[in-house]
Amino acid sequence: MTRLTLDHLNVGYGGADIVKDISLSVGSGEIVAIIGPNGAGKSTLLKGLAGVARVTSGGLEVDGTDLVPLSPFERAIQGVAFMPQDRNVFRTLTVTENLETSAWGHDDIRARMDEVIALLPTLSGYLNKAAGGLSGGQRQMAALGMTLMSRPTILLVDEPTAGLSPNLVGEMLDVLANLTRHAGIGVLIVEQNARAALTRADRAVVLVDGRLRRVGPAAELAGEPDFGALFFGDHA
Amino acid sequence: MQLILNAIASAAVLAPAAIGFTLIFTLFRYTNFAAGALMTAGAFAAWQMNDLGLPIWLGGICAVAFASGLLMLSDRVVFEPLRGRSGGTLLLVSIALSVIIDNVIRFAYGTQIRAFDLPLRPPLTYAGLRFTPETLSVIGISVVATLAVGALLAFTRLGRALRAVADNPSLSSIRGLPVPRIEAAGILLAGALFGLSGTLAGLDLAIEPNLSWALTIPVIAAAIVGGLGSPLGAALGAVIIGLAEELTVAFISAPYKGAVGFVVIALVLLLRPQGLLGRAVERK
Amino acid sequence: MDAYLVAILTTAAIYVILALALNMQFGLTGLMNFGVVGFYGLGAYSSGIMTETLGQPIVMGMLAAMIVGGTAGALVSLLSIRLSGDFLAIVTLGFAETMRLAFNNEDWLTRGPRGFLIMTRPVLEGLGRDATAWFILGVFLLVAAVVFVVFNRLAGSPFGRVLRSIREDDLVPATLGKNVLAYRLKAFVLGSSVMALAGSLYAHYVQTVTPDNFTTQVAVLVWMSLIVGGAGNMKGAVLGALVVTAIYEGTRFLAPLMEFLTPTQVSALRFIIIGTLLIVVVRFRPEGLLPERIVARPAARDPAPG
Repeated sequence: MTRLTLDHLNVGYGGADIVKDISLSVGSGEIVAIIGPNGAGKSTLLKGLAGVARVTSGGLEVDGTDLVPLSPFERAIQGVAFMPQDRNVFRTLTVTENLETSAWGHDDIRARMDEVIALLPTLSGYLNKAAGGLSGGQRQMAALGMTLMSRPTILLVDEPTAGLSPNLVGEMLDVLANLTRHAGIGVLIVEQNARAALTRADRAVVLVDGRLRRVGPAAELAGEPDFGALFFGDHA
Repeated sequence: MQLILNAIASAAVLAPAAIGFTLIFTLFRYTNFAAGALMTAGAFAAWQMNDLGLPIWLGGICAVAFASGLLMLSDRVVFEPLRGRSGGTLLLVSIALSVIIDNVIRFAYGTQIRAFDLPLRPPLTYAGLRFTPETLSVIGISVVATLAVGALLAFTRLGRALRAVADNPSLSSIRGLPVPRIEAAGILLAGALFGLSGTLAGLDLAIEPNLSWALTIPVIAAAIVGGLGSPLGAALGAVIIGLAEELTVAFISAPYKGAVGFVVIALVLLLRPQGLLGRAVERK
Repeated sequence: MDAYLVAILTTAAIYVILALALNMQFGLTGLMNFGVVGFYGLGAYSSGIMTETLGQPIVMGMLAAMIVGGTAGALVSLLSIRLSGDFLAIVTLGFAETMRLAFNNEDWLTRGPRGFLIMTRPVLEGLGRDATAWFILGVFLLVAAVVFVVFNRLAGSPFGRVLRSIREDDLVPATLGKNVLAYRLKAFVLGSSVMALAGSLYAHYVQTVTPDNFTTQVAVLVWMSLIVGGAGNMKGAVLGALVVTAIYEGTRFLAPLMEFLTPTQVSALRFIIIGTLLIVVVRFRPEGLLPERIVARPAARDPAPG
């Protein structure tokens, strides 16, 4: 089932559009990876969907609801959960408080917490620590837990593995892939580690200079012989 | 010992306002110099109600409500349209606001010094300490209020949300927190604390329009000593300022009590710019 | 009426000097000094002590005021100048309040709240009453003009451009090898000593100074002048001071129309009006009446004056 639909979407911060003419859809239980070189506008695209950057034209819907006029807060209520790349936890609050606060307006906070901890069991190891004192991996896990507290239908994840050690990168992406399948969430993920992302994603889009260069099944894209050279230079 | 009791009494007057100031600072990142004016407004509201025949505790409740409403109104009319402007601009505006509030009070009540209508009771003595029943109530009310606000912030949903918004407003709205509503709750709470401090100041000192600046500096000093982050720090900062004030009165000269706040701020800035408690404050 | 106009213009000249001094600190350099009255008062008392207690000529009084004001400015700014914005504002405000307490309580030096009588006047001997008033106005206008010309030159000089770039962004001058702290200190001391000079003029003009002449409300008038006129622009500071004096003194004429109000109420009303106007200007015309002309922004790169 298609949950999130982008129709010729343009996004910017007030000046010239940074992301141009994006059409895409994400279904439930599906992971779509956004890959592309630095500065291609990947993060801006996610921010546009979350309401942090401005959609200048085009359509954006989730389950048939028009998101364009909605504020970040209202989009969150509509089930779109955005996990920013940095400053994504409340540093002065404990992990438990971070999770509780992320389910504002709901009466079943306890149940949601249990649910999130069941999905991300490592959280239980540091629930009472202040989020500002967590390691990089713990922090990203806590931030992911926070997004899940609202029981989102669409999860927008901006570089969840940035700054993590290589073994944690795979772990984090596995966790994301698993919970997508279990909870039926549609995930749009921006990821620098393109290869690692493509092995977990269902589909991938390649963004270059703010425009969609390629869209296709992840495995197919990963299999292209000139893939690395085309989009990632040396480090792919 | 007497000195410590006096210090605690001074601290009791300052603590709620210092917490309110810290709350506003952490939510909006500006220094609100109208703190003293709001306290004075609270003191006059309480006095007015008392003068109309209401008992002092009811007058105090009116003062809390009045100052709360006044800060809310100030925010809507003055500060909200300026959100996003520099901290310096907001600071300047808060001084202008303070001048307005002070002079409205002066306009309405003149420069006469007033006091609550309290039954004259002899000072109590206990273990060699002399204190009035009013001192005891001031300390009691302040301690209860401080603990109540501390508990609110630590254990309730609203308290967590207030800390979350203070920590990171944009993440708050992304996570589905109704930020404007939570900010409004913070403003009402801070205003109430100013009103409470004002009433306590009225019990402890005299009520006059010139009170405002004499209150603003020690309140801000207490908040800075407390690290401008945690309400508990602000309360502790108030105790330190109170102690410094009483030491000044005892060993230097009573009139210079008013300079203590400035000197303490200067010392803190020299020795520990992040405040005695708490981490360095991020500044814009 | 003539005498009254002369009096208003004399007051205006003092506000012009104060506004120019604050413009050096805040307008050009971005230093928030809310303790204007601290330096102003310090200048008034220093000058009075010099001429009355120590029997020196008025020029020595003015000099003493500038030295004391500048020194106090250096100390205050050294305390807090590394910390930007709010902290300097708090410290300067606390400084001004502390000064006022000192003026009030150090009777032996300042005669406290009874007021310090100052006989020395900046005039030639043997002038009549009107001529004296005109002469004083002339002296004040001359000082204001000198301060304006010097500060206006400085603002356009490489020094002024470094100050502006410090205000805009501390990093730029630092990367150019400029010692940002030293520049901020210089600007602050310069402003403070000129504020003290204004205090000296004021003291010898009114001839009685009391601590109540130096309340924060006066500082608000100076800030108002700068914000209304246009922070950063020396001409704006002058215009702002004139406008604010006109509003402040003009409201005096309303008093007879409102005889049902007590003098306290009239005075309160004036400050309510001033405070409200300040907020309105900040909100709707933050650049002031004469906005600062921003010539090609990173001017610090260009060493040639222009």
